[in-house]
Amino acid sequence: MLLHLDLQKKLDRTEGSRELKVQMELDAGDFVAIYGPSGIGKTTLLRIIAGLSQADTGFLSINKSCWFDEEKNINVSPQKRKVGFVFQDYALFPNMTILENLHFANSNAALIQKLLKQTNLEGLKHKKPAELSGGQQQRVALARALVVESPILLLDEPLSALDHSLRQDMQDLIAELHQTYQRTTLMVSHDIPEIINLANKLLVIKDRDTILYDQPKAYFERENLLDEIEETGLILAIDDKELLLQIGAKKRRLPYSKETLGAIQVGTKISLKRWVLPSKIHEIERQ
Amino acid sequence: MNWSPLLLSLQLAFITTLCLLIIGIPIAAKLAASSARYKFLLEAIVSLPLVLPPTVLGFYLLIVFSKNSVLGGFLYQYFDVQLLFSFEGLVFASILYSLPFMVQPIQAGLQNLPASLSEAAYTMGKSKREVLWSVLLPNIKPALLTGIVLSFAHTIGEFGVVLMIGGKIPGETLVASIAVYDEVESLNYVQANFYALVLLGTSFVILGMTYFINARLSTKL
Repeated sequence: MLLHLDLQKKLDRTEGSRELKVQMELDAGDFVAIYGPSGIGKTTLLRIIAGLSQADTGFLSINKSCWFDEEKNINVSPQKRKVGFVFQDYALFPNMTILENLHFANSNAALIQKLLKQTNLEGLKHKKPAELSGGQQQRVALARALVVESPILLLDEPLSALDHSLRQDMQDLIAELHQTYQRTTLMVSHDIPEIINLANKLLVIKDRDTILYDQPKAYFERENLLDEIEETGLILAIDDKELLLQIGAKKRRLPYSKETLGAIQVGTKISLKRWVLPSKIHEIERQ
Repeated sequence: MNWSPLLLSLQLAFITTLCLLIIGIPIAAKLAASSARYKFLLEAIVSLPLVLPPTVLGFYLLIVFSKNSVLGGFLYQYFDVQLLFSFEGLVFASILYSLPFMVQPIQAGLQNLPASLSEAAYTMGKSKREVLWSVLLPNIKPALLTGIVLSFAHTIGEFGVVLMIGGKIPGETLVASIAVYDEVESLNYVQANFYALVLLGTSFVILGMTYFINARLSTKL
């Protein structure tokens, strides 16, 4: 067990105050998505773990070392906790180049080099953040958080500002980096497909309780937040990551992984299952 | 033409601005970061010179600096320092008088930066001082420049305080703004006009340059 916490904090919101209560144990390498309505305290939980906010009562320990214990009056400063944190606004230092941003976080040159390569930022390393696009800034923020050699990585809605196609790429990158560095990751997200793709655990914060689930997908299905549809498609083209399929009258590009598919070729007819978000019925025909 | 009052004004403004940078940055940083309940008291004290008649500040300094007061007596007895009617006294008074002009722009600049910048740096293990120096100050250059220029210009324009505690000792406390008044009183309009014109020109050039540089800095950011 890497992270063990049991925390309470009173949150003052415009619509009244409420209590955030969280209890969980995480293993090294876990990827936890934090899911719940706005203003419920998801970001606050990340801030408490990083030491940027303080819980009212409870305790928090990482690798058996105590970071916070209200009874014993222990509260380790954020400087000593040193977690990797990707802020919602990325918080890149505008006065520093990309390389300087990473170097400021940690001077481990070999790791910086490796991460610049993995995040495809090598060509941009001498540019300032303002010269980069949103997606590029996001990659810098992610690389910078990983340069901080911490067992914990906190992501506060890292993909919310990106458009759909960029989100897909970033999800792949986050999954790949998680595979490489195995940091215990907590990610605030509202996006159900994103959570299913990335997380192995799900922390749902609701009005009265906070529960940690082992299978994010099962939770969303149970709550009727996710549907499975079955379709038949004809393979029109295959590339490294995507299939071009003819499904009914429509052509669809769908991401796939080679390992799960086995021997296929153009012209093969396959049946596939996809997760889709529930939507309204927009047309009904009696059969 | 006697340049001495003008040079003295520049010297006073330069030293005052330098001291204010050293004193003002920590005060501004403290005020910007603090959410203490009594913060407003410190803010009010720092801003007092903005609304106080300069003669009031001068009057109290006159009393505090005098050899009969606790501070003035202490300084005179142990350090042989006499702040009344001396250049050192003017520097001290100018620092108090121009303090809000340095602190307020820097405080506003710091408060306008997103909190996530310093928080991100804290999670990287950086101390408050490192964060101020490497992350915050480099990102508020226009505010720093404004603070420096306003303090400098305000010190040059100082009149009431200097009159109260400086007198007009040539080469020691006779600064340009006092010299203008002095020359007018002796009906020496040509010399008065000389000082006035130089002050007008310098002030305009300094402010013009500041606005120009700030416009360029803000388009760059």
